[in-house]
Amino acid sequence: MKFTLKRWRFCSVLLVLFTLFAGQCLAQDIKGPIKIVVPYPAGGGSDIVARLCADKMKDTLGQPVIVENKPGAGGRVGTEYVKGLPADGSAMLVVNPALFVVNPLVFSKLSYDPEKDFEPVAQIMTYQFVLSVPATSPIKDIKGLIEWLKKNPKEANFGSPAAGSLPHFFGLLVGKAAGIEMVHASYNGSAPLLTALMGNQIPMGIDTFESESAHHPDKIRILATSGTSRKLPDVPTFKEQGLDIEGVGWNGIVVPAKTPKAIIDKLSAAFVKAIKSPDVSEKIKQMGSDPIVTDSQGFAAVIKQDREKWTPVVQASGFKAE
Amino acid sequence: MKPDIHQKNLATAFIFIALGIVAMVFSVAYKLGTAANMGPGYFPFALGAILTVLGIIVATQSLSIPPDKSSRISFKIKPVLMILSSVFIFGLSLEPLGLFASVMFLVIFSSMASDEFNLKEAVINTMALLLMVFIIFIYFLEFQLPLWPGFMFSHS
Amino acid sequence: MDLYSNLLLGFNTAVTPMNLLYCFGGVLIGTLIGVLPGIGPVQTLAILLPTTYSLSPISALIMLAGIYYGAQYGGSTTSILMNLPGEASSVVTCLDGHQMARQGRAGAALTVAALGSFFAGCVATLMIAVLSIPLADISLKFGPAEYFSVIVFGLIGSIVLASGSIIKAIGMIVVGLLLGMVGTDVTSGAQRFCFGVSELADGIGFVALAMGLFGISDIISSLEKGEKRDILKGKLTGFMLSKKEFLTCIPATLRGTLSGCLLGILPGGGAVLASFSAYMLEKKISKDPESFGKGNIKGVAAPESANNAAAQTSFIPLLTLGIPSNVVLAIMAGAMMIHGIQPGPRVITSNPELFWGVIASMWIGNLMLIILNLPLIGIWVRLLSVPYRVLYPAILVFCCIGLYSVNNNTFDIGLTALLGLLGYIFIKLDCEPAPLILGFVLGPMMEENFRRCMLLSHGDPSVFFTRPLSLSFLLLSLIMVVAAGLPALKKKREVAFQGDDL
Repeated sequence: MKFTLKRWRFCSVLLVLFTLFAGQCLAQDIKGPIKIVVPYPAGGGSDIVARLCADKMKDTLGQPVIVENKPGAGGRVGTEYVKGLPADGSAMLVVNPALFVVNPLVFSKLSYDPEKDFEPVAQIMTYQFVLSVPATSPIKDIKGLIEWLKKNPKEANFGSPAAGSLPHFFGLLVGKAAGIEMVHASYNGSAPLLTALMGNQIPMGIDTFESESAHHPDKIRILATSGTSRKLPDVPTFKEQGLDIEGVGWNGIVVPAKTPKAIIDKLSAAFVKAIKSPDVSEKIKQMGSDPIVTDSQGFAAVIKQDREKWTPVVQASGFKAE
Repeated sequence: MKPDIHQKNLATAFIFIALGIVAMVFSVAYKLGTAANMGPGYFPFALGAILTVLGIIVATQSLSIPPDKSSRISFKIKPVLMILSSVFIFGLSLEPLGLFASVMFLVIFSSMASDEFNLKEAVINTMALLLMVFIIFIYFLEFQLPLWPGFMFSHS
Repeated sequence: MDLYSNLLLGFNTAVTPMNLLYCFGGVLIGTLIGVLPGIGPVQTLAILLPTTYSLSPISALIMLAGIYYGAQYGGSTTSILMNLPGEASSVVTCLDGHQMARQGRAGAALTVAALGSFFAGCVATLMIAVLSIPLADISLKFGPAEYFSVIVFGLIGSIVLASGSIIKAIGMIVVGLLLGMVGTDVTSGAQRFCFGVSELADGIGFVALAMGLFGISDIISSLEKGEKRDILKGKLTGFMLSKKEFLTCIPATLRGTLSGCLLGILPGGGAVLASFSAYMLEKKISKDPESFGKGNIKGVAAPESANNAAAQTSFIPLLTLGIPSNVVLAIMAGAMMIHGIQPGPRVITSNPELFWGVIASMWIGNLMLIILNLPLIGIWVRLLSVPYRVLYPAILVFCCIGLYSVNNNTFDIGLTALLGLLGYIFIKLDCEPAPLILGFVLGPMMEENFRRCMLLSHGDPSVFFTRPLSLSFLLLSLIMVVAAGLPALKKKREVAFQGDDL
């Protein structure tokens, strides 16, 4: 009796172990720890979101999810790195429009092809662009800005956080819609641009909302935001103010091409779940971005749409990185 | 046995002029631009020109300053080669072979550069450093470093 | 002005046992990591940042701030003992600090660095508490024209750093400026001198340059001489300062602290300009400028207090305007954001306990640093008695791992080896690397601001002379050139007269 009980117990343990193992083998088609490669240094916007997602996904997927920073060349080094990693779902990359939409247009020799080398997994957030002026500026809205620019054509300068960034091209879009030739001055990132605006060194700046926060009302005035709907309750969009332009930036996740569809779907679902969880959504909102998440098809559509949207703008600007 | 030219200054002049000319040649390929809208080549071109002029000044000086013992260049090739190649080998082997193997190469090869090289001591030093590296970087700081050869395990 | 109650709030926040512990943990980790050659605050913070995500925002920031100045502090130790600057602002510390170490005076150099840093840290903390808001406004007055002029001032001043040929020093600055041009041009976005290597698109990393020019080339030339050990083995006496040394360091520390506090608030090159200009000032006003670069204790006291003061005041733009003035502070800004705090002027009103708590913790951290470090000096100095043939492979190991961890990329390691070769050639030719480093750090900023200025003024260079701040820096530069030229002329005349006598 004693013996059989023992054996029974032993067998049941064995059975449980076996089912667990078999279950693992069937469901877990991703080997080892999964890594999300952030092609930027730790502490930036995409790094923070990747870490928030990784934290949620290790529970959803039941396996370790780690974030690896591979910074360099505005994200190109990390992108090239992930391109060469195994297409089994164990490596993912955080991308944005600069890497996936603008770079193929401005680099004659790009070390990766966004369409051929990668498969979209999910879009994880979007961010609007803002046009702001120093708080001491007499300009109060877009209409006033256009009038002012027409009166002071020599002052028609705008700053952006980097040459070849989406805010740079969005600024050109603004100039085109307003019918004004604007001179672009690029800064070495958002922080110096913000300083220049606060110090009244440049008449206006365009940046992503994430970095150009609305938290300096006594130093900076935001005239318009770039989305289809208002980002800030009291700041109208460009469209509302008579300029028919809009555009948002985004962060998304891709995997190396040839990753099996089932794995992509599984990862995609895990991202959707992570972003939709209230605490992650809240953190993303606090950073000034919007937790807008889509699955792989949705993300593919976003990339395609943005390519069609920005290609003429970028080409008209004549901007080349090499 | 006085050398008849100031070797150090002449070599400096040569480096300055060579770097200056290289900078100018490449800058012309980038756009020079105008004063109001300078291209990416404007500044490096100007710097290249300045460096070339400085090189010429150093060269003329090297002819006028009387050379002495300290103006001669002398060097040993062994430490240069051993140290540089050990660093190169570390860089090449880190990702394919992992941290432990590459630290081993680095310590052993670089130790050989010293005149006081002694294999036993170098091996002990390697062991001690491996332990330190493990405790500090892997255990304590959790650096993202490839530890083992890629074909054995994936990145930790 | 309820400074008193604010500071009280700050200290109440900072001295909770938990926060004290994090502060101590931060400065301890910072010091230990900063001491490792090749590993500075940037990598340390980037790597440890994720571990603070689970802490409360105040504890996280207190700890990160502690790591930052702890690492800066530990970096000075490495500069003095091993001639390895962890960041641009400690390059000048190497000049006299390492010479002192070679003369067996490492203990004194470290003590001066510790005391100077502590004093500067206290003054700077007080200044942040009292003056942060008006100072932040001053930093906004710096437009492209002002930046350009202050950098010109710094570069011209740096010629003073040279202890040998002035022409060669100018040449080295230009070489540094050119090396700084490698990478993506900020103004046009074009890639320059990259030769199709995408790792070069961000330019040559500072860590790679410093480790190459100082670390590797120094190791090679020491091995070649094969005598370095004897010098260091000499007398290791004089851990403490003599009374005379202590007294001569007081004015140097005061001046260093002042330049650190003022220049530290400038975004970008603040700390570098501060430590270089503090050194320049000491050498300029010294009765015995020849002794600088040969182990003059003032050449350690002034730049060390300047860079520590600057490290503290560089928090001002972040805390009051939300603008991180360097890479390290950008990581801190990221840390604030992940805790849902938007860095900026609202922090003072919406999170007063965080703002004042961090400020109070800086003072506490400085106190901890000095208590921690004075006894450690003995241990660090003993490091020098490790045989060099054992020590240098260890330096190489830490440098290489540090280099890899900047970008998780092995490219930087190979690049450093090449730069090491370049540095070795320069040593052989009696060309000094310090001016090169300054040119490298300031060059891209100079170009960027000059071009932006010309762009915004539509090619009219008069902006540099019509803006008062810019004009005054340019005038100061001119005075320096004249002042540097005069003695040379005088000397020539003297020589000429002597010639007549003969």
